[in-house]
Amino acid sequence: MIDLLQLQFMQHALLAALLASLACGVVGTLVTVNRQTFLAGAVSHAAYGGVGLAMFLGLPVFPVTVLFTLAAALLMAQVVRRLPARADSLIGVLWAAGMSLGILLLDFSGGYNADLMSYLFGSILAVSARDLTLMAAADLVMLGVVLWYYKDFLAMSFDPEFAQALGVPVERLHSLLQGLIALAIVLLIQLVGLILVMALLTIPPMIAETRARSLGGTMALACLLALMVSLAGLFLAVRADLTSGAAIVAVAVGAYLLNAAALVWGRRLFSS
Amino acid sequence: MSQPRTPQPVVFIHGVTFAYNGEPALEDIHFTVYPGDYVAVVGPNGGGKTTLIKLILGLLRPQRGQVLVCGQDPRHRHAPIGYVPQHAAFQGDFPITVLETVLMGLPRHGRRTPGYRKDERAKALAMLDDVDLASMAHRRLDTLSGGQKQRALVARALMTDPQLLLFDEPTANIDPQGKVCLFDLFARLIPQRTIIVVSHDLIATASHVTSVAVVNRRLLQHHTIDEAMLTLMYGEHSPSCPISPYLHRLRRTHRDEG
Repeated sequence: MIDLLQLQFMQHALLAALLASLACGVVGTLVTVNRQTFLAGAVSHAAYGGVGLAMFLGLPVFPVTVLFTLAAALLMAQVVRRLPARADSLIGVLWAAGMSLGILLLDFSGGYNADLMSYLFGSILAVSARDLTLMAAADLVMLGVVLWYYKDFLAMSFDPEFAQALGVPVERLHSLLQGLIALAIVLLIQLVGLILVMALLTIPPMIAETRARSLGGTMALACLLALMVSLAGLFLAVRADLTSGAAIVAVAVGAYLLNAAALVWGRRLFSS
Repeated sequence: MSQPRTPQPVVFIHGVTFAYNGEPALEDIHFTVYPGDYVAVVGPNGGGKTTLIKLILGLLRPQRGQVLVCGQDPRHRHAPIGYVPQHAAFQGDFPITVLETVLMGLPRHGRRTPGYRKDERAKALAMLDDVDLASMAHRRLDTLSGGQKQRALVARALMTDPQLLLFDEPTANIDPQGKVCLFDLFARLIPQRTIIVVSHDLIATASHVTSVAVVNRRLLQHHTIDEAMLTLMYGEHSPSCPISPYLHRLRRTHRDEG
């Protein structure tokens, strides 16, 4: 095990897990408490369009995907706000359109691209030093924004009507949240891939929400849980030669089921 | 000889009309509330009660007419309004303590640090003490009963020392005992404040209110419960309608007891 930690790719993977856990815990908590999971799922799949666009144009994937995903997230937020009755269907359209666009652009790029698989299923063991720097910068931006607007996010998430009456710019804050979701999703794509990004963004916060007494506490606990499941999944993947993203999410789902069982058992014990 | 001065109304609504996508919710509303008034807003579902509250809060802009709160446009007001929204407006299982819920009511300016100052916490605890919830300050909000939750939200509304308190269906989902406690609490608050309560339950609010506004697209303000009940039963032309046998009996009983 110690020998394994001497390897640079493993050190990078551990750092990537730590950075992704921060994003997952903080932004994932806001996604969960604001009931934005479906929207975030759509944004994560639409992000694929950004990957395709970057590869088609021969540009760096990370910044192009961030911008594309951000635009998709803001568009979807507008749809939810202006057409709430048809929001779920229209988000479904945008979800499929973004993903198809990505695949078509990759087709036009010519030939099979090995990176395609890594964006679908994740490649935490292939994270470069440059990726880590970008992830750290994105984490800093996200943490800074959430700390700065913490009380406004708390009021908006708990009781948007009261928040508005208090003078909180709920609509602008909602758009800001979409921006944070887009950034976090692009950050997490490299860790577990598009397919599994939603699980890591929602499972640790969902567990934490049942155990913490405050929004800040939920964020902190979700970060810790995300790190623990990422590390456990990573070592499982290396030991058993499994796909790292899938192994991480399998561990997360296991933790969720254990927590749910403990809650049910606790309630039965309390009521008997 | 100088005339006695009329106090400035806390709420002044003149000729207000509001429609959602062309569908009128309120038409030509006139409504005045003076300091110390305790007004019940009643009416059928979809009659425009919540729209009226949102206009007073400045969350909606009237398409016609004027809304003033303490003499100011509510969208640019400086005078704080204490607001307790409908039970359904907030998430029941949100991870938040009772104390943090109350602290949320602090004025928004100067809120740029994630933590709270000692004096802010002390004030929140004092407000919780006022609503008999100080011992539950550090519990999760979702472990409280419906009535206790509403009292916590009242404490939150009091954090800005508001002159005006607005309650939107405060007794929905609360047992009868909880309703009595809540209206007793409102009565305790009234000497220093003006209160507007939206409620389906005219009987529960009846013991304390100074006037009743019946809202059903239009608004009629009454100073007795009887008049309000007549309007609720017969609409705005009730004075020309015969009083129902039930109300006759009610009035006779009232007179005999008196």
